[in-house]
Amino acid sequence: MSAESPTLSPPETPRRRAGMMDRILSLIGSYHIAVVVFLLMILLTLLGTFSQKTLGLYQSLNIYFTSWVVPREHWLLGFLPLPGMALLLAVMFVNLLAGGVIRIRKNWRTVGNVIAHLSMLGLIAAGAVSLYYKQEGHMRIFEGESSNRVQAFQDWVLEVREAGGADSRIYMIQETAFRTDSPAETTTFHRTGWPFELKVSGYQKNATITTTGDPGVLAGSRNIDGYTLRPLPVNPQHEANMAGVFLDAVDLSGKTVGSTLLAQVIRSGEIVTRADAPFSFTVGDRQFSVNLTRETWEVPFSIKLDDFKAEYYPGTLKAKEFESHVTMTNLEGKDTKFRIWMNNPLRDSGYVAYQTSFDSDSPPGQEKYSVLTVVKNPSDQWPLYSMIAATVGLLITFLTKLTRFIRRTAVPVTPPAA
Amino acid sequence: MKKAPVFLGIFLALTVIVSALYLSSKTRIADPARVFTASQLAPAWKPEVLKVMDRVAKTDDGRTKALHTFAYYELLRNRAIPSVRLKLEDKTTRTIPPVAWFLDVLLFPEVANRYPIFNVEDSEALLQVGLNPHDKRRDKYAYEELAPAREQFFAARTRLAEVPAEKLSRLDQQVNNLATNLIRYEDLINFLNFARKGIEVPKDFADEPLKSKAGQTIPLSEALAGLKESATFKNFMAAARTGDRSPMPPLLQSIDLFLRESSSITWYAPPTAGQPDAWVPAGGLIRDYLTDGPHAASALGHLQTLEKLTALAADPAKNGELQAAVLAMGQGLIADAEKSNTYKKVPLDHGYLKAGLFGWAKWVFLFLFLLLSLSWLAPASGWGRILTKLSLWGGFAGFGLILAGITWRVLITGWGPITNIYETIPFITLMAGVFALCMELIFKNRIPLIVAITCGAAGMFLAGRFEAGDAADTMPSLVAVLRSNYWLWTHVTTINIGYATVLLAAIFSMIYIFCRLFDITRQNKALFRMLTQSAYGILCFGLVFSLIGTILGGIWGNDSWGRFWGWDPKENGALVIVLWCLAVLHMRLAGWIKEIGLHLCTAFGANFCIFSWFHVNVLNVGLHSYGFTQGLEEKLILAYCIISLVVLLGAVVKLLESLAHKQAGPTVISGGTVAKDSAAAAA
Repeated sequence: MSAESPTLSPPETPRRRAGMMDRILSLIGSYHIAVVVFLLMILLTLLGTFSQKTLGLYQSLNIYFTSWVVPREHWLLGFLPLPGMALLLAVMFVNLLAGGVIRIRKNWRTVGNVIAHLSMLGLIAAGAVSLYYKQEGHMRIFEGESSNRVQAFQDWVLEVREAGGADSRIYMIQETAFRTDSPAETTTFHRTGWPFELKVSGYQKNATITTTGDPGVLAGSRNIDGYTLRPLPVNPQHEANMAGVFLDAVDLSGKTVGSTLLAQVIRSGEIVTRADAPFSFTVGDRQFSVNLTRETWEVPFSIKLDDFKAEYYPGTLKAKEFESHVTMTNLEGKDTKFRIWMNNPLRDSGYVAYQTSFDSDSPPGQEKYSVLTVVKNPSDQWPLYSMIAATVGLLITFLTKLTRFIRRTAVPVTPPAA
Repeated sequence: MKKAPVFLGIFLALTVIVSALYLSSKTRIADPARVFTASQLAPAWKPEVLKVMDRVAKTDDGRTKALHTFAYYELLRNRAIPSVRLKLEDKTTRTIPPVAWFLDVLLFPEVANRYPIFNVEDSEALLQVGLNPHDKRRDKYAYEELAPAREQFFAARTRLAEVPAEKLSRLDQQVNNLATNLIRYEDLINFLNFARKGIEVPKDFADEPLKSKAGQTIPLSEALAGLKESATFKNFMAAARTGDRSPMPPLLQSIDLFLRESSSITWYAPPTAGQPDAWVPAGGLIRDYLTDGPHAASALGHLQTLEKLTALAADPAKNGELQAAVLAMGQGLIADAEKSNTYKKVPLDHGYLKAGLFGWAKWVFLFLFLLLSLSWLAPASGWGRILTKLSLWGGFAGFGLILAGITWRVLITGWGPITNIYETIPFITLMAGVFALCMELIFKNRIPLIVAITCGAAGMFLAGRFEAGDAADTMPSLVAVLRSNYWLWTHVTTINIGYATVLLAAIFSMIYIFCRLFDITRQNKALFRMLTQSAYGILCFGLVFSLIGTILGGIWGNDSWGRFWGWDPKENGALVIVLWCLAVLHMRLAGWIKEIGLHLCTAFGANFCIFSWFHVNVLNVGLHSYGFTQGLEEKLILAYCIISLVVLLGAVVKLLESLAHKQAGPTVISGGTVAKDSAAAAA
C-alpha cells in the first residue's frame, strides 16, 4: 500500500535477509499479490455494484461482498471462479502485514508508509469485527411509550414459546434452518423437553395469503381451510419481502395436534403476522405457540420516546429535520435524556441509536412514532482512528515526496521546439 | 518536427471550435418559422416592472428564491434555453425573458398558448399521441398545437408510470416529459382562473348577504366575503369541526375547485411575521380566509389585487394601468417578504442567475484557448510569450469566475460547495484547473496551461449541458441526512478533489499517449519526463484525497445510517478509484509497468472516475438517492469508449515501438532513465 517514489527509477528492493521466514514473508508480502488482490477487488466491486440493480443490496452483499467464494451461479462469464471479498480482504490483510509492516525497510522515509499500512490493517480488522459481531435492528416507538426490544431488518425466525409453563424462554428457529430448496420439502424440529415435533414446510421468501381459487397459486399447493400461500417474486430489497410458511405440530406419537399457515403483511407501517398468528396448540396439558417474525432481541436498557418533532420544508412534504427526544433507562434504573437526530446518534453502553425514520403517513405535526436503528458494533469507532492514522501517514509520505519532487523539477522545461 | 507545435495548436483549436459548435447545435432547436403579428402579441412589459417582478420571492421545493429563478427553470425545462424568441412581421425578433413569459402566461394565457415553448426532440413522439408533427424532426411547438392531444398525453403518462424507468424507450421518455410539462404549464395558465372567471352563485342560494346575487357571476372575493357570513357556511364548518363528513354546499364546491387550481404552484403571499413557513398560493389565501388561517386578514386584499390584474389585462386600452398594478403588486409582495424576514437571500439568488458567472467563464476559457493556440505558432517569439502570459493570468481569472460562482452559491444555500451532482462539475473543474495552473507555474512549458484551460472550457460546457438537460433548480433543498456542513465541507469536498486529481492525471497521460502516437516530441525527453512525473504525482494526490474522502464518507455513514460501509454503489465507486490508484502504484513497484504502462493505466483510471462520478447515480439503487439522475447511460458509454480507445491506441504504439526496439536494442527513452521499455517492462 505504498508509493515509494515519484520518479521512475526501479523501486528499491527491500534488504535481503537470509532464512526461510524471510522468504515466506517476501512471498506473501509481495507487490504481485497486492496488485492481484487490488484488481480482483475492483472487479468484484464493479460486479457487486451492477448486480444491485437486479439482485438488490442484500443478495449482492451475500454473493460478492461478505462471501469467501462467489457462488458458482455467479461466476464470471459462467465459468471463471471468483473469490469473495472476505477472502480478498483476508489475503490483503496478510499481504499488508507481511510486506507493508513487517518486511518494509523502517527508517524516517518510510514512517508515513508504515503508519498508513497500519491504519489499513485497522480498517480491515474493523470490517471483520463488524461483519461477525455487529448486531443491528430497529426500534419503533410511539410517543409516550418505551421499548427495550430491537427487531432485525431481514432475518426471519420462528419463535416457539410455552404459555404458562415453567420454561418461559423463547426458542428461536432461524430462517436458515427451515429454508429449503423446494417448498414441498419439510423440515422437522424437536427439542428435548418438547412433547411435540414442529414440521415446517412450504416456506416462501415472499408470499401472500390467498384462497385456493386464486389463479396465482402453484398447482398442488397445500391449503388449510381453503387458504394457501401465493408466491410473489422475490423483491431485490430484501426487507420488502414478506415470508410465509406452513406449520404442523405433531405429538410424539405421530398425531397431528395442529396445522396452520403463517404469513407476514404490512399493516399501518408495521409488519404483522396474519392468519392464525401466533399458531397455538395444546399437547397434553401444555400449551405452546409459534410465531413467524423478524428476529428480535432485548437490549440492556429501554428507550422512551418523550417527543418526536419533524420539520418540513415550506409547501412540501419533504422532511427538513426530524428528531426524537428520548429518555434512556439503564438496568440500574438511571434515566438519561437524549436528543437523537440525523447524523447525531446516541452512543451509550456500547450501543448506538440512530434516527432512521418516522411515521410519515400522518399529517405534519401529528407523527405518531419514531424509528431508531440500534446497533452494537465493537468496532464502531475504529474506522475513525484508522482514518486519522491514514491521513497522517499519507500526508507524511506524499508531502515529503512532493517537496523532493518540486525541488528536483523546478527547472524550466523547454517547450517543444518550434 | 518544427511544424509539430503548429499542427498541435491548430488541431486543438479546431477541436474546441468544432466541439463548441456541436454542443451548441445539440442544445438549441432553431426557432420555428411562424411569424407573429402585432395583434397576436401581449403588450411588452416595461423594464421597471420586470425589474421588480424578477425580484419577487417565491418558495419552490422548500427553497425561497427569486421569481426569475422559478420562471427561468420552467422555461428551461420546456425549451432548453431560458427565454422565448418570436419572429415578428417586420422581420425583427422579440425576446421574452423568463418573468415576462410568466406574466404573459398568467395574465394573457390565450396569447402565451401560441408561444413555441415546447421542445420536441423527435416528432415521432407526437405521432404516438395522434398529432401531426411539423416537417422538421426536432422543432418547437406551442401549447395550442399540443393541447388537442392532452388526454392522449396524460393517458400515456399514466400507462408509462407502470413501466420501470430503464425500460422506457426514448420516445416513451419524450411523451412522458411532454405530458409532465403540459401539466406544469396548465398549472400556470389555470392559476388565475378564479380571477378571470368569477364565480356563479347558485340560483337557490338563500342566505344573506349573497341572496341578492343568486344566479349571478360575481368576483370570487365578493363571494368569499358573503359566504363567510352566511348561515350555510357557518353550519357546515360547525358540523365539520365535530367530524361530520357531509358534502360541501354547492357554492363551496365551486370555490374548492378554484382553491385547488390556484394551489398548483406555490406562489403568492409570503409568510406572515409569526409563521415564517406559511407561504401560500392564491388557493391558500382562499383557504386561509375561510378557515381563519395565517393570511386571513390580508387574503381578500390579495385576491382583489389579482382580480383587478385580470380585469385590466382583458382590456387592451388599460395596459398602462396594468403595468402600474403589476408593479405595485410586486413591490407589495417584496415588502411583505421583507417584513417576514424571508427575503434576505432572494436578491442573492436573483443576482446569481443574472450574473451567469459559469457561462462567462466558459467564454473566457474558449477565448484563452484560441489565444494559447495562436501562441503555439511561435512559442519562443515575443508575442508568443505575451500570449502565453495572457493565457496564464486569464486562466486564473477564468477560474476566479468559477470560484466566485461557487462562493455565491454557498452564500445563497448556506451549505458547503457541493450538495448535488451539478455542483460537482464546477468544483471539480476548479480543482483540476487550479492544480494544472500551479503546475504551469512550476514547469512553465504551456502543457499544464493548455490542460487547465481545456478543463475550464470543457467543465463549463458540461455544467451548462447538465443544467439544460436536468432543467431543474440547481440548488434544491437538502434531504435531512445532507444537512451537515461539517460533512459537506470535509467528506464531499475531499472526495471530489480526489476525482479532480485522478481525472487530471488521466489527461496528462492522454497527452503523453498522443505525443507518442503522433511522434510529436520524440526528442524532447524533458517533456516526456514532465508528463510522467505530473501524471504520477497527481495520481498520488488522487490517492490521498480519494482514500481520506472515502473513509470520511464511511464515518459519516456510520453516524447517519449506522454502518461504516454498506457496499452502496456510491461508496463502491469511491472505493474503485482508491483501489485503482493503489493497483497502479503497486504495479509500478512490482515492476509490472514502466513509463508508458503507467500512462496507459492512469489514462484508463478516468473510466473509474467517471463511473464513480456519474454512473453509480444512474443505477438508481442505494442510499445516495439524492444523487440519482437519469438519461446519461449512452453518454457514459461513449465516454468509456473514447477513453478506452485512447488507451488502446497507446498500447498499440507501445507494441509497435517494442517490436522496433527489439531489433535496435536498449534505448534511452526518458529523463536519462535507461529503460529497455520492452514488452516485459510494460507487461
